[in-house]
Amino acid sequence: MKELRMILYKELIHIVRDKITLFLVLAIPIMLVLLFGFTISTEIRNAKVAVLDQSKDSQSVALIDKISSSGYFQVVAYPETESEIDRDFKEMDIKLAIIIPSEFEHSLEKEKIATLQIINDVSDLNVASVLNNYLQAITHDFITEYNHKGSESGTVEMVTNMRYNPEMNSVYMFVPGIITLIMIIVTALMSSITLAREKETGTMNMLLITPVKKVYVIIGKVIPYMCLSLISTAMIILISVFVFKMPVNGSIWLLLLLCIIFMFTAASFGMMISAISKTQIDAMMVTMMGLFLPTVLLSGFLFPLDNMPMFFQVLADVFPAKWFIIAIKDVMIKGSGFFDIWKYLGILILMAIVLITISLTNVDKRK
Amino acid sequence: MRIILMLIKKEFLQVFRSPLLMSILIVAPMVQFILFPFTADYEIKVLDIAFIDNDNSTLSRQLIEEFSSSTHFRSKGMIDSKSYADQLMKADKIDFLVEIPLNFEKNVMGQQGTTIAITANAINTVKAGIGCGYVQTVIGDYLKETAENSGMSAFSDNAQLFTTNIYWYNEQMNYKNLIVPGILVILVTLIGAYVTALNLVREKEIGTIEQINVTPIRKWQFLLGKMIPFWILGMAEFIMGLFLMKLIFSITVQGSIPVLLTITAIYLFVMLGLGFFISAVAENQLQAMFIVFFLFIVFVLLSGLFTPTEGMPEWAKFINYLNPMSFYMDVIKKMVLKGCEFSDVKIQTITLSVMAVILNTAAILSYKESSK
Amino acid sequence: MQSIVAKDLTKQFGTFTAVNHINFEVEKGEIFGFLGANGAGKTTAIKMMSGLLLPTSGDALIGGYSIRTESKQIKKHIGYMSQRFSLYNDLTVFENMQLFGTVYGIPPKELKQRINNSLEELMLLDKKNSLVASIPLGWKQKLAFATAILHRPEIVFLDEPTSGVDPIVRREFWKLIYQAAAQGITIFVTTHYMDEAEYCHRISIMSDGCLKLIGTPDELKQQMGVNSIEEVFVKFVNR
Repeated sequence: MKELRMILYKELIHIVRDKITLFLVLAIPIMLVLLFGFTISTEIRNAKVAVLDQSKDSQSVALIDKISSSGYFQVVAYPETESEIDRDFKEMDIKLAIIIPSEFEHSLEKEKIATLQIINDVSDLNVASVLNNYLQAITHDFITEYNHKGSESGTVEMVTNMRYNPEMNSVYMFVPGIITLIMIIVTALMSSITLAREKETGTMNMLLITPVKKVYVIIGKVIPYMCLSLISTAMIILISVFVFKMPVNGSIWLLLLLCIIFMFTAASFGMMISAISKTQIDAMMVTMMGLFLPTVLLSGFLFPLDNMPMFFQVLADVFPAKWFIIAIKDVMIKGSGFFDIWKYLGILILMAIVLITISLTNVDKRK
Repeated sequence: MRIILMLIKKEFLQVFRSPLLMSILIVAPMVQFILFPFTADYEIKVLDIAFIDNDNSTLSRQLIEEFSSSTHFRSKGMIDSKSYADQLMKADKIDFLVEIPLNFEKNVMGQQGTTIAITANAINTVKAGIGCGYVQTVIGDYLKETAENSGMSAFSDNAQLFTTNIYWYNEQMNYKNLIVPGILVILVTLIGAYVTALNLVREKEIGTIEQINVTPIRKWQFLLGKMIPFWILGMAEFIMGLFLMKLIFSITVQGSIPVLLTITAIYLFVMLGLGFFISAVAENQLQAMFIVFFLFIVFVLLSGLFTPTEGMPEWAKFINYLNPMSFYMDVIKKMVLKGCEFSDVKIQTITLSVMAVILNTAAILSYKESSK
Repeated sequence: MQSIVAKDLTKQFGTFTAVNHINFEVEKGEIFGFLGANGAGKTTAIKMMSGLLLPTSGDALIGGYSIRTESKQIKKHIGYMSQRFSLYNDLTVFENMQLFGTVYGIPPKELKQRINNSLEELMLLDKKNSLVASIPLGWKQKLAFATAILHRPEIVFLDEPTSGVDPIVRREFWKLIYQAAAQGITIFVTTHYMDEAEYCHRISIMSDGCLKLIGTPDELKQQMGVNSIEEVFVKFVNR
């Protein structure tokens, strides 16, 4: 135990001395959360549109007014012909073009029917979908007003209820993901890289010939980074709660337990990686390709898992991130209790045990 | 000149001898091309939906039937109680719940007005937002149809405004057409900034740079000797990427390929300059990696690949003017998907050139042969 | 003619003074030994003189050029071998020498010849195309030295060139140093092997950043009334 304390102390000195790295480790997560929180929004405002108005009557002008005053759209071009629309897409970066048919007012008046043609830039499908939704709502309002049905009586109203996230705050979606990434980077990456660095510079051998048990050397290396990542995680959670008003609906202790367990799993990944890599670049690449990339892609944090081919869905189960993200969302947002998430905790603990066993048997082998 | 050629040769020898670097350069793009398009699929395809039918009438059943025939929805059927629905949503079994009120049919036919409640799991705001639009469209279309069929006077009295959509620049509506060019951008960025930053810091850490620094070599010679090999590798990667894109995903570049290559060449210089600047500032590989990593995430997220840039606050848009990746992403989208010409991407090209000059100057200035 | 003239050369890192106003001169063709315990400031001094570190105050003239203002000129005329082996491990023996030879501007044809000659002298010709990583440390050090003098510099700085190699290689190494000195190359060498000090024409002993003693090995032994440099050193340190 005394030996472990000594190693811990040594590692702590390393961390505190390397002020730049310490700053980066602590500041980057905060900066990422703030940046994401303030900038990433799935809502689109002031999308550029072009309107080709073939009738130029009072109703078409009223419709254009309504579109541009909605806040969602900004009419930046009035092309005269359809061929000009293509130029507007390419030069002005408009997201969609609206073609109002000729004799628009007349059609509404007499034929009681009119059709707008909308040209979407679907190079980004989601943007196109979102904008179409906005436009639908605007045209619906427009025609309701036109029919003098301000009271909406007799129509079927649809009330939407955004469960768990009534204000449609994107923070809900990515905070669990960021916590996961930060924990993996700080715990797994940092500890595996510093272990690799000791191997690279030869100081590892110095430590290993001392009577200190190898296991202690490794554990002593890993624990300080686990603490660092716990501090980062706590800061992320505090920022998301106090700055972005994200709720913690479940028990805060359960959340803490969950984070600590995941930290062990991440740390065991770090030990595993350092067992197989000799240089820092090795460690970095293995972590990036083997752990970071799967975490980003296969955790369901950015990309929905059910869209993926079966193979990747199965692959996703092997990595801890997926389970952690499900569990942390459940606890923070849905307010789940221990019995809702015990399965996920079990999976994470199991993974940690398997990985630690593998890497410890590896460390003790003499080459 | 001979000195620079020698340095280039040295760098290439080192790259080709390092199994790790080679595997990064060859395996990484392959992995990304195979992994990303299948996993990084942001498109909202299938939404799980369930219903509570308090009316249990012909009209309500038909409405529910309507959802089953829509390609966007996978119906999880009827649910008896609200609390069971809550459970399902909590367990992520359903994304949407549609509740049809009592006397729905009667009220619709009698034009009394009624309210359908739609509940969405809104943790994923994209899914919830787009999905709600789909739900409303299905219900709206159905009601319109019913009105027309039954010849309800009140409905036919009102004017109707329809919209029809035409889709440009991605007629097959394939999400891969956005993500695959996005991978090209990520690939070029990683080679440019990541590999070079680590390479130079590593020379610092293992001490070989000292031996170079005591020679009469000029800073710009040394940096060019480092830059050109990675520039060539980056271009080779990019061209390989274009081939893979065509081969695997049948995405053809719509615009002019020489223009695309030219702008890519400039962008690579921006990233190389950035990589060198970082390596001049960083003391060890760990620091270099953290800085590159941080910038990379910020660049990607602000670039508009995954989330629309239109929703960002003004100050974030301003930051984006400093983000080389957002300019390059713009160029790639325009050149690959829209078939733009050089005149359409002139501003981006000029901006990238200016960035390249500034970053490389900064790199040369901050690279110290002797320390204080 | 003096190859090296140090005038009040000083280097401070924060409040710590690594090199404290040192003054000395080294003649052309001389083998000048720089002795001192670890941390005495030897490496700092050598780094300043080879242009890797800027002095805090004072100056040194290397081959007549000031390290403050004319480091570009100095670099053409010096060779340097760092304490830490710093050739490229992932390049072959030949590629390393070719790289540094080219950087110093030796024309290709002549370079090839010089490399071959030098490898022959070192008896390393059969290792010409081996990766540097694969050859033993003693050979690596000899190779580093050969590379450092490939461009025939006026002065070569060697920072603990023989640390960690066996006595036989050390003797061979000093043979190389003598050969180089015979060609008129000034050798500035730091070491903490006292027997090596005896090989030097003149030595100086550094401690706590100050230059404490300077003279020929015999002079110093007489001055302290002992029989070996080792005793000089021990006596001096204990004082």
